[in-house]
Amino acid sequence: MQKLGMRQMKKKQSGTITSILADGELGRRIRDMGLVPGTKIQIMGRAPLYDPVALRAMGFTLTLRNNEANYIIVEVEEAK
Amino acid sequence: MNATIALAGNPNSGKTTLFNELTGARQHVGNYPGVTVEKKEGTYKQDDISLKIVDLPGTYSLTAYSLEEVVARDFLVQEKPETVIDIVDASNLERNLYLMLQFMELGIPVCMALNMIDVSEKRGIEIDTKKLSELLGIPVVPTIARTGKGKQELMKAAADLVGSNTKPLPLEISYGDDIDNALAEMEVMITDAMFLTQTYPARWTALKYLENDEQIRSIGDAKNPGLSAKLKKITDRVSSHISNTLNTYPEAVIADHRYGYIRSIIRQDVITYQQDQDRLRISDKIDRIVTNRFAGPLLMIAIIFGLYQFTFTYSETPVGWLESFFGWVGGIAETNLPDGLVKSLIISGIIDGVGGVLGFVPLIMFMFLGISLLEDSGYLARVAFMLDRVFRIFGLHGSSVMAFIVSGGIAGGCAVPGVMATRTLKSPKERLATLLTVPFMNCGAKLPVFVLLIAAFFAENKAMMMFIITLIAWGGALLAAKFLRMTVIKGASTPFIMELPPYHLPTFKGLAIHTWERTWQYIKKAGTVILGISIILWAMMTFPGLPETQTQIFEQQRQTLLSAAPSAVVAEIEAPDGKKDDETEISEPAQQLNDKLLAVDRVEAETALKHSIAGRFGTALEGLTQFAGFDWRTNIALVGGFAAKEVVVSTLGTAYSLGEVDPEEIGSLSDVLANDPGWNPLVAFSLIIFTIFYAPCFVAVVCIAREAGSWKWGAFSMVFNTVIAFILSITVYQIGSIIL
Amino acid sequence: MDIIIVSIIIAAAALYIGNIFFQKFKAARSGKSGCGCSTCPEGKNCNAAYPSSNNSLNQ
Repeated sequence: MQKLGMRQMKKKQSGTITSILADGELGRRIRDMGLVPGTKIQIMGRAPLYDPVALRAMGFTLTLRNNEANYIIVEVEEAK
Repeated sequence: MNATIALAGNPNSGKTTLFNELTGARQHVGNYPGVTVEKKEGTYKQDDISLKIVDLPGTYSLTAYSLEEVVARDFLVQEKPETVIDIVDASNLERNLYLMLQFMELGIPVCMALNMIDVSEKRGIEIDTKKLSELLGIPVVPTIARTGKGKQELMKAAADLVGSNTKPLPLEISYGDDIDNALAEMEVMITDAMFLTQTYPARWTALKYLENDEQIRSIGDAKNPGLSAKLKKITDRVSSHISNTLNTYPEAVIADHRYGYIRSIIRQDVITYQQDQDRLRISDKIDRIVTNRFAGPLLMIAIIFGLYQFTFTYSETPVGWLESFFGWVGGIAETNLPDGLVKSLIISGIIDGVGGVLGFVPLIMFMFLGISLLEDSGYLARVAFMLDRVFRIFGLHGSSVMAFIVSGGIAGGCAVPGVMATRTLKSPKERLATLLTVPFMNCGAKLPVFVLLIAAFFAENKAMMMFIITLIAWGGALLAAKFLRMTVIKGASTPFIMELPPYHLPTFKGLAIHTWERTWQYIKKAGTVILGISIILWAMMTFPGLPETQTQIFEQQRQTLLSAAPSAVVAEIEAPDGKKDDETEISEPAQQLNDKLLAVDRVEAETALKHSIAGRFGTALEGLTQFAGFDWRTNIALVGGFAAKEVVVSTLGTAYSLGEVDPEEIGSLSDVLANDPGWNPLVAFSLIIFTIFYAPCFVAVVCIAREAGSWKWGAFSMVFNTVIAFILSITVYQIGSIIL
Repeated sequence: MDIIIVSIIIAAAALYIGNIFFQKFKAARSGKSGCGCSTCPEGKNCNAAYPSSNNSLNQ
């Protein structure tokens, strides 16, 4: 089970968040949206220029910039 | 029962729909005092219940990081509504509960509207509302706001809550030992000193200190600096302890525990899934294509171009009808009113002025319909998603996309709400760059100008021309933003965390309302502001009239012509129904005489026009504007455009009408321009460029000055934009003249 | 006669427009809220017609 920054995850990959490294407003926003340790997420895709990234969490779709996704560490599942 | 109910919830949870359902037409839109956050109020009446409903801004949380959240919680703790209805998206229960908990921590009586349960059921999400209600200790009512289902039960529950008059105890969640102990310690100090206890629960205040809440801290500093300092010291102590032991910080721990609490509730069989939740939904499948690397941008271009094509094609007939209508009205006025100033005012000032702007209403309406469709369906969020990276290259932000579109990025908008939409951008650099460049967009007022010129000179390629105009506007805005960014100070970037709501088939009702609201605004503006300005401009183009000496000269010329002609011919023209009856065939010599007389009239009218205040002003500017291909009439129109961009069209209408002396030649303004020797496609294109870029209208300038914080920026936007406009149009015209 | 009618109309238009702009000026100086659109009375929010600033696009 690998731990990756969300930025490095590939499309359709899923995993569980283990930690959020951001603080301040960014950290708060990320957490307010439910991206906290224990949340399962799946990468839906990326914008045409590879940035931002769209992911699914708790039943809804969220978009984040790559430099924001950097702060989110995810334990990815083995490829199915 | 006389009570106030606050409506709260996440964005996209159906809050607005529910508010409309509950209040119907009994709504009033205003602002929260001192800020430009929308405040909607209305009344709910059913049987013997009459409740005031206040729609709070949609938020995901109640932090101090955004204006909307602060406004929401200030309203709750200061106005103290008797009950809050939290609208929860049933498909998103977990995340929606995060906000719910914060209401409960504040000790506010709250009940839940579990909305869009039809959607969640279709997705195989079953919620045990009874269990949920028990575990939370609050009423939970399933609703479908779109159809009104559950409305009455919801309001009954709310009314019951109000009636029961119980103040629930603030919810106390455990945040782990470290924080819980600190909270206890701080709570005692706060209660003893009665520190802000009138407004906030003690534990809540303590929690805010630990969360580094800027608003509460500054209120605390002001109220009781000594205690505030002590509380901060405790916070620092806990922070460093948590940092050392857990490698995190209090605000994070608190957020994590809130979700932990939520999960503990959910896990008690509140939700059952009948379907695999990881399955791709229709929205996801659509997004696969819509935001695809290649298909995405192509689709975006196709959609926008398609919108223009649709608009121009289907509005052509109705616009034609309106043009005929105004022509007909003008004709009646022409025949029935006695010659004189009043007649001129009515025909040239009002009918040809305002008519020029109103004539485009069908086109404007189709444009708005298209935009509403894109918005309501959720597509625009995808546009922002795709363009964020591009915008960042130019120093802007994905959210700037929305500000641009609101300002008329696709077509028909207004820079004023666009400028205000920049409030969500925290970085001063991003904000300033955005709000100074949104005026370049195709606002609803500029549309008539473009459409007029396109119809007159680019009739073969209307949609394409419109598309080119849009590209020029965006290109110019992005480049200007980049330029500005290089000269404005740096600032921290705003996070771009945005929810992509599922695609949603817009309701016919919603589309109709949005389209009509904007169209009506356009019409109202034409009938009020544009009308007023047209009258004033007519006056400036009529006075001072030609001096006696001049009019005498023209009269002399006419007399000379008449005496030179054979009396039979003269008799033909001066027959009672002579000039006015265009069905009677008049002889060749009579026709020639008529033409010559009209020519004299025309020169007289033009001389008079040039002699007026506006004419002299326009002529004076010609020294500069001739390089861009503009003559004095266009100059007057452009100056008028400072008041409102539609005025460019209405002024041209008046100016050419005043110069038009043959009542049989009633053509639409585009026909007049197309046939005028002073105009050609290059001049038109140069004027289009100028219109895209030059100074924003007065109202927008005021708004910019206000939002940017100083009149300096308002003046800057006027000067900077106009200079760019001149440089570009002169360049275009000069180069065009050489090539073509 | 004509000139009287016309003068009245012009004066009325000038007052009307002048008043609108004056209101906008005043509102801006006092820092009061309001969208500033020339057809909206002070305080009324044209967000009714345009996307609200608190939709999902903004956090």
